[in-house]
This record gives sequence, structure tokens and C-alpha cells, in this order.
Amino acid sequence: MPRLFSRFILRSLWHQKGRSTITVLGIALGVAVVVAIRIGNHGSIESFKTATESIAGATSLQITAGSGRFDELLLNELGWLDGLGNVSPVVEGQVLFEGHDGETAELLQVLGIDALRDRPVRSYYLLEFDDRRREPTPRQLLELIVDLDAVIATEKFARQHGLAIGDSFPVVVGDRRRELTIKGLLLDEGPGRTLDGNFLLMDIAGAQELFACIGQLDRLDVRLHDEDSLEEAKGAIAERLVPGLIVEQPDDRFGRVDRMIAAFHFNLNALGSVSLIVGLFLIYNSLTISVTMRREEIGMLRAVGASRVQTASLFLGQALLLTIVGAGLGLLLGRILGEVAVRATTVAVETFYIAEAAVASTASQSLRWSDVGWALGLTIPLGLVAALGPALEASRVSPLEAIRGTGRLASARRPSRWALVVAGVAFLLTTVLVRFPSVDGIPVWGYTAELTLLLGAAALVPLILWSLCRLWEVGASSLPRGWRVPGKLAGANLRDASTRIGVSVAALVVSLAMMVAVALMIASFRFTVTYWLDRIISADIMVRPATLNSSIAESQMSPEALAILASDPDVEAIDTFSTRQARFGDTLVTLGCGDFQVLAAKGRLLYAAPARMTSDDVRRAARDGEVFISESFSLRFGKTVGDEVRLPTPSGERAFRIAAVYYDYSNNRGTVVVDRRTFARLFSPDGQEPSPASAALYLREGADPETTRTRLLKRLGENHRLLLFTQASLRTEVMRIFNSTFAITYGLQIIAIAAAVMGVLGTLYTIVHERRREIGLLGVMGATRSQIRRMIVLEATLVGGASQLLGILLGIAMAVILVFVINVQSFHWTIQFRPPWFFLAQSTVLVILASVLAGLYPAARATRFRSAAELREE
Amino acid sequence: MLEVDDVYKSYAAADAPALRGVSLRAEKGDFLAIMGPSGCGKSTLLHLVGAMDQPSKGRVLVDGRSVADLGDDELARWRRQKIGFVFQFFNLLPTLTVLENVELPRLLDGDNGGTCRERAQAMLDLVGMGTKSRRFPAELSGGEMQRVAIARALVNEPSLLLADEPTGSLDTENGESVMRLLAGVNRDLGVTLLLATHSSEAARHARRHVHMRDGAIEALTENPDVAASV
Repeated sequence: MPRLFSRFILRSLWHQKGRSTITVLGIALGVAVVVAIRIGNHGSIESFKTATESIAGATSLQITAGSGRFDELLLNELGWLDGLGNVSPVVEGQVLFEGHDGETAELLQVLGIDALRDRPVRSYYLLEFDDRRREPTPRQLLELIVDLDAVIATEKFARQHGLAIGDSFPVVVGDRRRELTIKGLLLDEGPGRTLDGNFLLMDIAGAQELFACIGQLDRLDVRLHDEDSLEEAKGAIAERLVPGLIVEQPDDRFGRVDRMIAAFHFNLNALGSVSLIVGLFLIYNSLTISVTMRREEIGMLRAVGASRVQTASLFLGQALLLTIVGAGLGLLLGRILGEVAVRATTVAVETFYIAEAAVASTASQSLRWSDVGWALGLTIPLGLVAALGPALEASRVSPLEAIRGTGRLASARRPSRWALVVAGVAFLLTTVLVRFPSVDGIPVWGYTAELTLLLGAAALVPLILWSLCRLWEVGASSLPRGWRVPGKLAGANLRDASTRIGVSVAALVVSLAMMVAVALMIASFRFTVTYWLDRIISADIMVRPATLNSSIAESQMSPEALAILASDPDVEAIDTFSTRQARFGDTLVTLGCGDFQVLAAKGRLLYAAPARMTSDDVRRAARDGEVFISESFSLRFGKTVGDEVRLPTPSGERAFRIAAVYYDYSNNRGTVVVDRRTFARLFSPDGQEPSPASAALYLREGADPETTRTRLLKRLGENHRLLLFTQASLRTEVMRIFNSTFAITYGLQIIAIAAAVMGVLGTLYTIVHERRREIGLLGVMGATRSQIRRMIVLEATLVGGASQLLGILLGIAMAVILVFVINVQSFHWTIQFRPPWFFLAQSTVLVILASVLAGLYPAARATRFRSAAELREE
Repeated sequence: MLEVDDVYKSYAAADAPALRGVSLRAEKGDFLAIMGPSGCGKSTLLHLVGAMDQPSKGRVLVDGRSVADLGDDELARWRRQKIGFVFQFFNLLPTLTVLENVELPRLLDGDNGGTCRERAQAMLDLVGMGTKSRRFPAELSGGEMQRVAIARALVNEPSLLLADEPTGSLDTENGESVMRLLAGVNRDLGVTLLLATHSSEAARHARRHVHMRDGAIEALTENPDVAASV
């Protein structure tokens, strides 16, 4: 068998180098996209995971407030914890390092520790510290970082930026610039590995001063004396903790982020699978062409004694080989594309989920064995499934039929009406499946519904193609004179071949439908976001710190900067807004804090419920301590107006009544907004109003926003790094993030279009080859070369046109599920359905043009069949 | 050796049956030429005997065994081991060399060893193509291609050789040469040979002539020239 395979299959693949290469590249591209997305997904979360693990050190349990920081005086009430383990208080935060070139901006994770208490929890290995010992004693460590501006940086960071011990470097905290001095360098071990070396160690007092949180702590890291009794100790601590504090394992924090981002990753994987389907389609197409073109050879093989199993095995082997080579190449390509995928998804991930994604380490972009196993484990079985049809067809070639050349005639028949039943059942299933809820926030049933919809539509393709060809034949008599006969023949030919080419055309329809569906979803989303922005932007200038690169990061504006803004003669009112992460159940939400009085007087929100929300209603909500929730929170947790949400406060969990649900497309994790006075009263450890993370400036009537912006920037100078957006520039910024978020989907669309063109070419080539004798006969009967060429090009146009028509119809149906089911279940946003008519018209023209171009080669081939030799075999 | 017993063959698309009650016997080493005009059923009869098709009614026994009783895999093995085919259009694989084409039935039979190559080369030597074993079919003349096809048909030492219009695509000289080769194979190797042809020139080499018309045997005659020479 190996020798037979080598001679019958390998040699043929070599002879058909072009087709083999296209197939292998198609599979490689499919696998590469899927692997790249996996690497991208892994990379975006891996840097966060590594940061969590590296910083955790030997921590067994962590004690935190459910939201924000807590008062360090609480430590006095937690003395009993020392009996269970070593306790180390921690303050954490992020600063922005700006390189000397002014363009480099890197996020640095800062860990503030009490050097004397932290030693049992974490080990620090320093460079150039002691000739024999790299690990300093707690006292030596304290002496190094005792100054408020003293930090220990990583050796890697220092090397990258040409810094040495004793050097100072600037960082931005919130909007303020600060100088920090390097007192020691950490080796690439333990905490030094955090964010690929972008890590600074400080004394806890220095960190509190740096982040303006004197007297507050982020958490307590506990290393238990008895590690084996972890669950027991966790339970015991939870029982004795003061209200407002919670205990959890370091992994829990990562788990929450992982769960939150799971739907985003699932959707990317699902979209990536489109390209894998394209690769499988190419395997099917390539094998169908092989079987069709080698029918006589297969018949001869059968005549000299090849069994059906042997024949099918040969072609399955061909598919296996193409798949393995394609997958292998795809893995290598995926490794390269992985970097692109990380970059393409980073904006979305850091905007909506984790700020640490911005520092995706190069190590996390490497190919893992699980990627290799996954790629081969998925692609090989699917490749074999795709090849099963053509392989079985090859095994059914009768030696007699092949020798006589009658096999093709037998398969030209009207499509089975059973397709209607199959499609009916599939569509019925679709309508049932879309009603099912998500599974742990993953729209599994939504995607299954898409699949059943695709299968139903694919089953109908031969029948619809047959009917469309009948219609075309009727209409062909009204074509211009020179096109009438070729037109009629093209329709008849395709009608006869509708069952034969059904699968190829169905695959083409599926590719185009996916492209249409994704384009439609993006267009609808874009329309919705634009509409939302137009409705809600009422402030003239929006302000945020330069370090705030994410809708979920916590950053603060300094009181000095706020004072500068407020003192401007053109500024009439300021609405400040601050956010922090809050634990809600087993996940994270955003806790927002705004000024409801300013909102009532000046602000505009787009409300989902109640239908009408007056200024008085907003003031009443502020007075009663009620909250507003974002639509994504409402959909994610099934809450609406009148319901209660329970949020963690320093004095324990409290219930808040929901006053309104508002549309918000800035983040999808869900936001609960409270009035700043309620926040100060119930959430702030020190009873102070929170420092704002952003501000909206309302100008006096007649003031020019651009002039005011320029003046403010000048006054803020170099000391305060704030970004000021006018309404127009904010729209531009939002659309930039929007486009970055969907950049990867555009890439997938291009792949789908490329596959569609290759699909048309392959399908037509097969049809033409199958009919070479009939085409030869036409020539003998007096058809001119130009008539034959027109006939083939018209067939190509018909296949492309019919596929595009069906693709648009199916794509619209798929988009409805994407927009109203999958999107809502994944991202908890409602989107207005808006078909991009111009794009659809443009893509139709492109697909038809590509079909015509794809038809030219088979047309040129067809005119060569006009020799008597082609007829002789009949 | 071969027994065709009251065989009928009908096709769904055809008005009349292709074969109507055909009965025929051939002993080991026999050489029968099935003759008649186009559409008389001679190729159909050959396909039934070669287990490429099944009769609608009646039996075909080769070495006492009915091909109708065999499953697909057994049929394939049967064709591989018992029967050799020679077609009008040679049906060689264009991507394989002459030697590789001849090796094909043995490879299908699981023979990957050195005997496969030796046997194929021996068959090529027998048909006079031993020196062209490295060539590809496209580099050969029609007569040469048919010789290679005969070598391929003989490589598994079949007991029955079926030739369907083997001279139909050849000129007179090449046709005569191929027929002499087939007659020699029949005579020297003792292979039973069934030849379907409408050429009386080709049939001249057969021991017996089966005359067919409209799917039935019209007459079965001895060829006195060959009978006398034997």
C-alpha cells in the first residue's frame, strides 16, 4: 500500500502542484488563524496570570475588601491571623514609565510591602547585592527602600532602558509626574518576572504616598503555617473576618478574570473556526477535483483488482497527507500570526477586561504542545470527514462505468426533495435553540443554532440552484443575440450539475454568508455606538489621566489638576466620575461613582428603563441612595429597575435599589453607578469622596471648546498629564478603539473572500473537466470558441451570483442570531440591526467580478477540449 | 474452466436486454473470439465474465465458482488474481512508468517485495518491452502501450485473460503484432483467452469463434486454421 500510495497519490499531487499548493496553503491558513487566535487569547491572559502568580509568591490566602482599598487600622483587629500564618500587608498599583524618547510608554506594576513582614511570603533575589548571597535580609531590604521615592526595579527593565542603581527615572501616576530612584535590581525570578520585568518594589509607605492612599491597604497576603489545612483555614478566617473583608486564594482572582474574558475568547475562537471551515472546504474541493479528473484511472485501478476499501483509503490518505502538511505549516505560520493576533486583540482586551494585557510577554506568544495537539487533533479528523464524501465516491466508481465514461451521466439528476425535509427540521431546531440561555456566559446554543441554520441552508442549495437555473433558462432568451445560446446552455448545464456541484456551491454560500453576517454585525454595532455617543455626549470637554488606558483600570486625577480645570473662566460645571473594580458574586463588575446632581442638571444618559427618567427622578435616586446599572449589568445578572443589587462595602455587603438601567457601550462587564455622596458615606474607608478618574467639563454658552482645551492644556503644563477630548476628538478616539477591536474580524473576512474565489475556480474547473466530452461535441457541432468561452464564463457568473444571493440571505439570517442572541449572551449589549447596504452591493460586485475572472481559466481550458480525441472515447 | 449458463443482462435505460440467454463453455487454454457488430453484447459478456458487472439472470462460473456469490472485496481479489484485462484504449496510468504500471496489480495484492519488480520485468521482457521499462506511457506508440497493458494483465498469472477490442485503436501492423503476442501467451502460458472483437483479422488467431447478434449467440464455430495448427 505505501508504494501504491506513493505512485498513485503522491505522484499525482506532484503533477498537480498548483492545486496541491493551494489546498495546503488553505489548510495552513485556516490552522494558522485558529492557532494564532489561541496564542493571542493565551497571551492576553497569560501576562495577567504570570503577574498574579509571580507577585503571590508563597501566599496561601489573600484578604481584600470586596471593592477598593481598606483602612490599615483594621490590622489591629486582625491580630489573631498571626496564629494561622505570616501576614504581609500590601499596596499595589500601576504607573506609566515614559522613556527618554517621549514615545515609549510602558505600564509598570508597583508592589508596596512592609519589608520586615513580607520576607516569609516572597523571596527577592538581587543583582550586585552580596558576593555570596543574592537574597537580602528583611532589614537590608528595608534599608534599601526606606526612602519614599526608592524602588527596586528589575534588572531586565533597567538594562532595556539603560538605567543603573542610583539613577532616577520619571513615571506618571494618575496625572502627576514623579521621579523614582533605583536602589537595587531584581533578578528575573519570583516577583521580578511580573509583566515581563515591568515591576517595581517599594516600601509600603512609599507606595501609599505614591498612590495617594495613606492609611489604606489593598490586601493582606497570608502564608499559612500549615499549608495542608488551606480550606479549613479559609473557612475559619472567613468566619472571623470583620465585615467588608473577604478571604480568597490568589488563583480566585485570576479565575474571575478568566471567566469574564471567556466569552470574548470563545467568540474569537468561533470566528477563527470560519477559516478552518474554509480549509476543510478546500480539502473537499481538492479531492472532488482529484476524483473527478481521475475517474478513468480509478476505474482502471478497480478493474485490475483494487477493492473499494483500498480505493477509498488511497484518497483518504491523500486528504490525511494534505491535512498534516497544511496543519504543520499552519502551526509555524500561526506562531508568526500569533504576535499579530496579540496586537490585534490587545486593544480590546485592555480596554474592556485587563489592563495587564498591554504587557503580553513574548514567552506567552510561543507555540505550546497543547496548540500542536489541538491543531492536529481537530484538523485531522475534520480533514478526513471533509474527504469522506469524495473518497466514498471514488470507491463507488465502477470499473465498467469508468471505462465506458457513463458515470457522470448517471449522476446528473434533479435534486432530491428530501432536502426540504432536512432543511425544515434544521430550521425548526434553529428557532428552538436560539431561545436557550447561555452556558456560563458562553453562547453555546447560539452558535449551535448558527450551525443548524447553516446545515439547513446548505441542504437547500442544490434545489435552489436548480430552480434559479430554470428561471435563468427562461430569461436567457431575452439576452443579447450573441449571448442567447451560451446563456441557455450555461443554465441547462448548471441545472443538470446542481446536485453534483451542490456541496461546493454550498461551501461557497457558507463562506460568503459568514462574511456578510460578520460585516452586518460590525455595521450594526458601529451604528449603535455612533448613535449612543451622539445621544449621550453633552459635555464640551472630556478629561482623563494619560495613564488611564482602560475602561476598567483605576487611575486618579489629582486635586491640583481638578482645581486648574475648575478655575477656568469658561468652565461652568464639572461632572467627575471614578471607577473601581468590585466583586459581585464570583465575578467582577465596575463600581462607578458620579455626581447625580450634575447629571440631573446637565447630563444625558440613554435609558433602557424606565422609559422616561426626569431630572427630578435622578435627584430622588441620589437622595435615596439608589443606583443606576448599565444595560450589560442588567442583561448579565438579570436585574432591572426596582430590583436590588448587593455590593461589598467596608461595613459589609449592602443592598441598593436600582433606579434606572442605562445604555453603556464603554465596557461590558457591567457597571453599577452610585452618587458621589452615597459613595463617600458607604464605600470610602475614610469617608472622603473618591478622587475622580475622569471628568466632563460643561462650558459657558458661547465658549469655544477647542480654545478652552488649548488654554487648559497650557495651564496644566508638564506637571499634569491629562488627556482632553472635545466631542469630535472623543468620537474619533472611540472609533479608533472600535476599529482596533474588530480589526481581526476584518482579517477573517478577507480570508473568507479569498476562499470564495478559490472555491469558484475549483468548482468550475471540476464542472468543465467533467463535461469535456460534451464541450468537445459542441465544438464539433459548430459552436465557436467564443461561444464556448461565453458559456463557461456565464456558468461562473451564475455560480458566483447565485452563491452571493444565497450568501446574503443566509448571512442576514445568521447576523440576526449574532446580533440578537450571541452578542447579547456574550457581551450583554443590545445592538440596533442595520444592514450595510453599500458593503453588500460592493461585495456583490466583487464576488461576481471574481467569479467572471475565475471562469476565464476553465473557459480557456474548455476550448482545448474540442479535439476529436475527446470524442473518440465516447 | 469457464461456464456461462443462460445469462441475461438488462439495463434500466435500455429498451431491449443486452444479453439474452447466453450459454458458453471454455476449457483451460481455450481461445475464443466473440464476434459480432457493435451493440451485439460482446463487451457486456466480457464484463460479466470479468466480474466487472453482475448478470440479471443466469450464472457465470470461473473454475467452478459463481462470481455472483462474491462480495465486493472478494470480487476485487478475484479480478486481481484470476483475471487479466486488456482494453481497447490501454488504460495505463500516465503518471507511472511502464514498469510501475505493470507492478500495479501485484502491489494491490500486497506484494511490495523484490519479486514484484522481478515479475513485472519478466512480463515486460515477455511482451518485448523489457528495454523500455523506465519510460512513461506518453513516450510509447499505441502498439507498445497495448503490449504493456498485456504485461500488466499477465503479471498476476491469471487463469483467464479478457481482451476487449485490443486492436481497435491500432493500425493493421501493430494490431497483427498484438494479436500474435496474445496468441503466443495463450499457447505458451496456457492462459484461457476471451477476445471480443469485430475484426475478422484479429479473430483469425482464435481457436473458436462465437458469433453474437442482438444479445444472443447466433453460432459457435471452430477455426479450422488454428485447430489444424494445434
